[in-house]
Amino acid sequence: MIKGLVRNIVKDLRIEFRSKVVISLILSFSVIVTISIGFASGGIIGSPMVHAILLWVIIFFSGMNTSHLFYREIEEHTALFNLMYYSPESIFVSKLIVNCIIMVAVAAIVGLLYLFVMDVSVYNVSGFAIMMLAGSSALAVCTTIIAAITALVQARGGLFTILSFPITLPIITVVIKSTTQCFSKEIYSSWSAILFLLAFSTLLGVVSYILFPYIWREF
Amino acid sequence: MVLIIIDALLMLASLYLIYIWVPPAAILGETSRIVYLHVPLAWVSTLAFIVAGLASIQYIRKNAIEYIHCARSSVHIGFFFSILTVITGSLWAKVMWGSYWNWDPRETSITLLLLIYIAYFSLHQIVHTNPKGAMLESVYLVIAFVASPFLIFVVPRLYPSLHPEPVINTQGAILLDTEMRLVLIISVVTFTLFYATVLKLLLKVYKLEYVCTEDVS
Repeated sequence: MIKGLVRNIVKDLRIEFRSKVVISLILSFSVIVTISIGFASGGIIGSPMVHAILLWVIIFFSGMNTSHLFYREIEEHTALFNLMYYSPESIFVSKLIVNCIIMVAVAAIVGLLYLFVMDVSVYNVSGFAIMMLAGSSALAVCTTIIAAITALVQARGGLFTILSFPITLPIITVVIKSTTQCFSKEIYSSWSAILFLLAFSTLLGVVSYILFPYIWREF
Repeated sequence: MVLIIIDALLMLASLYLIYIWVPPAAILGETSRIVYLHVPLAWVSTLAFIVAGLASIQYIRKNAIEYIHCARSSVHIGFFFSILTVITGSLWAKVMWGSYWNWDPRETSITLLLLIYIAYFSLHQIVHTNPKGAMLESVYLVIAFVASPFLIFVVPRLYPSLHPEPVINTQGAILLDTEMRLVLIISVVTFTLFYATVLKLLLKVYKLEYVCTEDVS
């Protein structure tokens, strides 16, 4: 299983980097939105909370470009091949890991770009880094199963965002609160937020892992 | 039919108890009567979403069409009751806290719950004619079912709330007068029975629709 898992992850990442479609989409979306916000506001957004909200909204919508992970299997007719050689669980875990890698990369790029363009001071750098890592991973865990659901329907791009947003809102609410504290001078402990993110994403991850074979059968 | 008659009688009795028999609460006054509607409505919407989640699990396990009909019907009822919960809550909030909407954690969590099921309706609209649709709907409803306890029980406890802790507290005790408690329990039972009646009727409608479609095809 591990061998198949690693092979799938390497294959998916290789396809992503070869095609460059998603990478260029994510990069251009995040750069355009961040610079537009900076341009429109003239770089004078004072409140740490507004910065935290804008940052996570950009990360969320940049991450929405990863909805193709499962759809590609339908488009390229590789679902049957995968079904023969790999277990559905192994496919789900590999897609989940690829989604996590992409989301963490998106959060890192958008985070650095936002701090640079908007000139935001981070008072708790380690807390901010942990929150970016935990928040983006939790978003990836929760949206992987939604990507599988929407791969089988029409209008999947719009539907993916509509279905993902309410499910991931608890995560976004918690990370915005923690990121606000990192941007302000107040003393802050990220443990309760990390615990919440861990519990929420673990539960959804496990349920998604159990449910995925039922969706995979429909591919 | 018997269920409908019993429920109608119970509903009339509950209305009499709520608006005439039970005395108003000491500090809250006449406005406190809304609690006998607000709490049962919130309870029934939670129950309906739980039933929808459980029916979806059963559909995934057994692939029997009646379970997805039960899940769909229950989501519709739960959604309707959630809206009524928000309306009664907002009316009470205006009287007690001076504003219809206060971004209280409980208000926010029920809104998130509504958003989850609004998203479900979008999915339902797109896939209900698709043969794979029932499975996709079920999977999404199970995900919603798993995420909901975080919204109902965890998120409201992470942030300070305007909702009164003494009514239903962390010990799980209901600190109300005997008369008020009795009326609240009767109202909860009545609305639960009302939910069961409507669910039964909707299931019949779905069954008829399904039989007609099968006959045509």
